[in-house]
Amino acid sequence: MSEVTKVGIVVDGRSIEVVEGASLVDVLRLAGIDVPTLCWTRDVDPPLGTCRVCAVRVDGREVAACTLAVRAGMQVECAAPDLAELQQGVVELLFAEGNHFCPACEKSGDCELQTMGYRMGMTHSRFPYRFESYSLDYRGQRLMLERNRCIHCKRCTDLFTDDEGHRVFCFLGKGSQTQVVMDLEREAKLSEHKCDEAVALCPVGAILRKGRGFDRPIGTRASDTPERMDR
Amino acid sequence: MHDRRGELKAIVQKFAADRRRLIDILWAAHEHRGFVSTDDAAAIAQELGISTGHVAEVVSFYHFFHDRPVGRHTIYLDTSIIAEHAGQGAVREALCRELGVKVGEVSADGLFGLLETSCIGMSDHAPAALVDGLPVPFLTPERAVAMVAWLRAGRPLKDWLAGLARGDGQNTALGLPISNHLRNVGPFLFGPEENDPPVVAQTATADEIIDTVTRSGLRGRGGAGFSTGKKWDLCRKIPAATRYVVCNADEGEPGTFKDRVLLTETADLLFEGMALAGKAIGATEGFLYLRAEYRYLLEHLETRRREFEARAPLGPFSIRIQLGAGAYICGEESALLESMEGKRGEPRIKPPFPVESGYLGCPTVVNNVETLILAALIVRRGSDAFRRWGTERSPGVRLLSVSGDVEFPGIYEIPWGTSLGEVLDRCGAREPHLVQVGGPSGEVVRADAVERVFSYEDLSTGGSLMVFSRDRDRFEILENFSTFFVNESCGNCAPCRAGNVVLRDLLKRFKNGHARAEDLPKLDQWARIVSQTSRCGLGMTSPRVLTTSRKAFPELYADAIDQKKSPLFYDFDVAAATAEYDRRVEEPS
Ligand SMILES: Cc1cc2nc3c(=O)[nH]c(=O)nc-3n(C[C@H](O)[C@H](O)[C@H](O)COP(=O)(O)O)c2cc1C
Ligand code: SF4
Repeated sequence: MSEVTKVGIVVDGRSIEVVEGASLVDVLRLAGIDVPTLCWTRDVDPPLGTCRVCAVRVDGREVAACTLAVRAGMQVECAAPDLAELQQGVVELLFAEGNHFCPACEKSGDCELQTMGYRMGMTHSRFPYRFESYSLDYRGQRLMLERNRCIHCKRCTDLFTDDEGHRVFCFLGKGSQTQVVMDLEREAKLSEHKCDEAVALCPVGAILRKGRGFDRPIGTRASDTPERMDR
Repeated sequence: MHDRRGELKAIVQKFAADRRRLIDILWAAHEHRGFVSTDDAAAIAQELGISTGHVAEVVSFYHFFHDRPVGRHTIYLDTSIIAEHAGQGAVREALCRELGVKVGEVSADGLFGLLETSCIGMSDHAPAALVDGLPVPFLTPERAVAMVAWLRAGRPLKDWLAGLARGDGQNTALGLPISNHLRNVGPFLFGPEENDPPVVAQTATADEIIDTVTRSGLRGRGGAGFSTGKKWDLCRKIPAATRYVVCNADEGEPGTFKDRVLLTETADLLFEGMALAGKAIGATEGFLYLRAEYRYLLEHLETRRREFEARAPLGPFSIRIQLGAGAYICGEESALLESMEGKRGEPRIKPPFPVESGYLGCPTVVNNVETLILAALIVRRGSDAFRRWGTERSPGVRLLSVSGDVEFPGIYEIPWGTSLGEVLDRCGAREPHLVQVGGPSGEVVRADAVERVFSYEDLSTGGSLMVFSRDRDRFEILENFSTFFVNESCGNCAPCRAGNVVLRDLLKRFKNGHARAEDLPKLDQWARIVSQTSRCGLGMTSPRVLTTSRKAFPELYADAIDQKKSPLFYDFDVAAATAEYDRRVEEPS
């Protein structure tokens, strides 16, 4: 059994006791500071660290909180306005990169990107929208890919496997040309349950069940509830 | 019929069906056919017991891997600004005309594929191209067309290159018409080796090696400048059964070619440095990660490697040369390790750093070529011999790869502390105006800042020095750099993947005269978002193209502001709006 060591760190001038080696995101949330995240999911080690939305400052340097394990004596800054600017800047980059027409999206109301936008009080992206045409992939048996909405978080490529432990989603290309693809043979063999898992894993509306959508009435979707909005 | 399936199976077996050798497997699969089709990828995946997508995503990541035919002969034109300034545009046009293709296409007879790639490490031979893996220097439209005719006649490229030798200097080690352009030899690295004591390190203990290297003050030459002695010491202190040494020969920063020259001239010293590092940290295995652009050095390096292993001057130490496949990001040490493990070259989360968890999760020292060679010489000659040169805080010497508008492009060995002015004088800079120190990820410097000094405190550099004269369009230079980052971003993290496109477009707005006063503050604000949130050094440094050029040439940006244009249409780009029309009109019917 691994022993738990408590260490002290300072967050925005406040000293707190935390478990050594824990993820800084976890630690901050426990302390009531809700750092924004998109790619992050609990207990993934190493973390994906792809969206970079959880920018904080540690010992004077900007870092993604999810990628850091806490050490004794860390000086952490979360509340500085310039950090909120970084966090929102990255979210705005994602909105400018993809084509996010929320009202027409099956995931609207249950989308982590959309919720983040609301939460940050975003009305538009400061960056010029690219309006690139990204392709859709309908060839799956039950799943489809809507690449206009993909934020390349890598949850599906790195965290999702079929029942045999094989990867189903991969990245093709690189840089701004990177696109997610599905291994069609493996997709065809996925169980119902696995398909739903893939859809739920996607933080946005890029992985969808064919023939399904808008099945939750407005008012009952995750981000319709005030608690979620205030998070 | 040719049994491709059987061939692929044999290839996979040759590498013991080890998925970590995927890069080697894919190189071998390209050998016969030039590309890896979807069926090929599926076959390889099946033999390795992995998803087809896994193979496909690796193929699609690297410039030199292809999933469709790219011609019997494949021409990669270097797109660095140095090549463009030296006339690559005319060469490109001539080839397009001669082959009846556009860039990215294959000629109708399937003989030639015309492609482009980032800097190939030939800025002292610009404009250059890689043709079937061989470097073709000093291209002109005539020379390019002559080469095509030669290849069409079915004659070997090597023979044609041999015919070029007279004008361009023949390299005896390689049998290729490329010169090492050693302009400034000595005082330390290219100093007289004859005076060196015979490899004393044979008897030196790990402690002594680390002590000597640490006292010399040697810092990494790959860019980050970390103390080499300290790195080795950190690595050996991590408890582990196996450790590795990796030499980073991925030299991809546009304008650099010093590692190409070092690998040609001093491969023995490099292997000695790797073995020394091995002795210091307790590793008996090392890897040389060689960028694919330098594939033509492979034979030479393998010969030298075998000789070195047979001599084993420091005891048993084996070295494997791992060929890359074309990706600037694989110069980043953790991306390099991913690539060595047969994956896409996406940088890992750091910490843990490679010294703690590197190749296959084992503690690994990653060092640049120049660093390891200097370490070998330091251990031979003692740390004081190194400290005699340079300054207190930046001891020793370093190599500069000088290119651009200069009389004498090539390699200059300088003691740290040498001024910019002195280097510009020595290389015969022609009316220098803008100097790019350390490549696109480095710093834009005014050429009249002659008092600035090469050192870790001032102009710290990875070794690339590109000189541009007064008549060059500075925005064209900056846009080329910015485009380089768009092309070479690995795509893993949001700010770099999406942000570099945004930054490039912002720069273009200034270049095209569409910028307005409110765009000025965006230069620094947007750059900050990308640099402070990116996952690795690429995204952290790429915005420096904008920020350092604005600092060096504030008037450049201020003068580019369009005062007159209607506020409604300031974003309207006539050229872009009519591009489709132009394309269709030009299209052969
Ligand atoms: C985008 C990027 C590209 C890099 N390219 C190289 C390279 O081509 N060669 C190199 O030695 N280091 C390169 N580096 C630095 C390496 O990550 C690493 O710091 C270096 O190899 C360590 O060796 P050193 O301590 O001897 O400098 C690069 C870093 C980044 C972020
Ligand atoms: S900064 Fe760029 S190159 Fe580095 S991990 Fe992010 S996308 Fe990849």
